[in-house]
Amino acid sequence: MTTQTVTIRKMLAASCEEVFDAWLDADGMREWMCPGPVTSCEVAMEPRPGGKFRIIMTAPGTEFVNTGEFRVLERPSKLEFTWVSSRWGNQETLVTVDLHERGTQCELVLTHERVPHKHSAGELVEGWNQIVGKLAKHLGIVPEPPITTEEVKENL
Amino acid sequence: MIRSDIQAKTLDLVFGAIADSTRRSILDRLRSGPLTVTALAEPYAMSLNAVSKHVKTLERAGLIRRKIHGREHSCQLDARRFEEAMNWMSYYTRFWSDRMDALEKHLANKQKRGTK
Repeated sequence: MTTQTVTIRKMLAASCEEVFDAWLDADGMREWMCPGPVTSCEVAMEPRPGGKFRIIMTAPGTEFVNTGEFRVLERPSKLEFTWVSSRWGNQETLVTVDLHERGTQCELVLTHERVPHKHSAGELVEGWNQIVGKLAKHLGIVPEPPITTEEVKENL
Repeated sequence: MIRSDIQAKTLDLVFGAIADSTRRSILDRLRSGPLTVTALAEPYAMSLNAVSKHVKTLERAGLIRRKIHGREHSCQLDARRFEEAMNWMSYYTRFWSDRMDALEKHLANKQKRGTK
């Protein structure tokens, strides 16, 4: 089953344990979870399966509240949590973080999918992500380049 | 750069609408210009009524607009809604991509602090 999905890959010069732990460290997360215009980021979480988290991002004149629940916590290879953002109409979505050991590094694969609506789940076709891109091109819309995979940065 | 909330419902309508191959084909054919429902229905092995239902779904999703000239209904593509749906993906692609860069820096700083 494929729905609208965003996938990001990143090679990190750290062990998968370090990467995994960073996701469950509320203090540390404040340092890396703040997007561009966000001036402060508050993180509260219960780092256990079924535990909830809340990330409040404050940007000039606005505030985004992101909440969710940890579904899967398998140290050091997998995290899965729901993601509900006020930025996108508080619709429940799902984020999966898979960690793969690559020598001394850790490859992170983050998949963010919109949990499909019950009535349309059966209808949604596979590979529609590409279809959307093609269709957008056909329709003459110039979307942001659909970067789905990030280039692995070379180690200097 | 931060836009107001986009209705999740709107996104569901758009993504639901383009999940069907007939409806994608209808959108594709409307790229070259407006067509009447009758003309749209021609190549499909289905009733005018069935095609009309597909048109309604696309209309509800805001992907096409229907204009009524006497008895004929003419359909026209409206690409703006489609763009909104694309924004969800481009927003999160950028969001997570930037967050992962920040995570990388954070881990490097942590390791530096740890070795000192």
